[in-house]
Amino acid sequence: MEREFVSFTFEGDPVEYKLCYDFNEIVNAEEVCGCNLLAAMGGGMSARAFRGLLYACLKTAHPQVLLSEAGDLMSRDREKVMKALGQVILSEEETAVTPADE
Amino acid sequence: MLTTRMIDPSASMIRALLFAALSCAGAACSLEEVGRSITRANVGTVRETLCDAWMASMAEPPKRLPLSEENSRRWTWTEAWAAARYDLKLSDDEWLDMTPRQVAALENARIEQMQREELLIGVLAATFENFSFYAPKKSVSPETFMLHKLPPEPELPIGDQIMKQMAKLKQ
Repeated sequence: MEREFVSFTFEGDPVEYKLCYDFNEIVNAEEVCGCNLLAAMGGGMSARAFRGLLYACLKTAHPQVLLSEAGDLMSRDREKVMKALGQVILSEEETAVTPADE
Repeated sequence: MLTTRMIDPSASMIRALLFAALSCAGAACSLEEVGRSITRANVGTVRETLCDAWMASMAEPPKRLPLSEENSRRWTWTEAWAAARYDLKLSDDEWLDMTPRQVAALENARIEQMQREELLIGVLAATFENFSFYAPKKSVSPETFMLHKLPPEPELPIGDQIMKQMAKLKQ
């Protein structure tokens, strides 16, 4: 199955960060960050869950990434990262009715 | 992990349950392959289906016994194993291959069989007692001699109760 990547960059940073939905990485990330990421996707997402999900989605394209580095990306441009993360995690129907689009 | 609440299952629990369900059904796939088969498009359906299957595999609460503190106490793994081995004569593999609902159905069938046997013995014992030289003034019922009492029969609505219900409807 071909994987869909969503990428984003930061000004002054040559690295192109690629996010991908991989359930195995989400499972691994649950162990690393110590929280239920699947439940967090359903609503009421905490900062810890955001960081854990970003870490999980980065892992496929950036296997060496650390949890703290995922947190650093959130600090650099939270909106940009959250938008990209939303595109990866939410299904097409859910993306179509996100409050930001209304 | 299985004691975790099924209301908000984690990703690792979903993957493990799906892997277990597929393995039981004869699919030869690895845990990683199961994880790869779960996409953002089907994760909701997978989760709902697993929750439905989980609920369907659970036994319904017993109806015949009052929900006293003793009956509502959760069994330990060892107690459940002992009951399956000793009462139901199941092997370890047979027991582990069954869902809790199947084990409960077997247990219910065993209790019903005991009730039938106890009722037959109760009929004999009650007949002896009621027609003996020192018969009790009020005859005893066969159920008196049963260890596993029969469930109470549902009360049929009688005249007064029907009138009360009708009065409530009028109000």
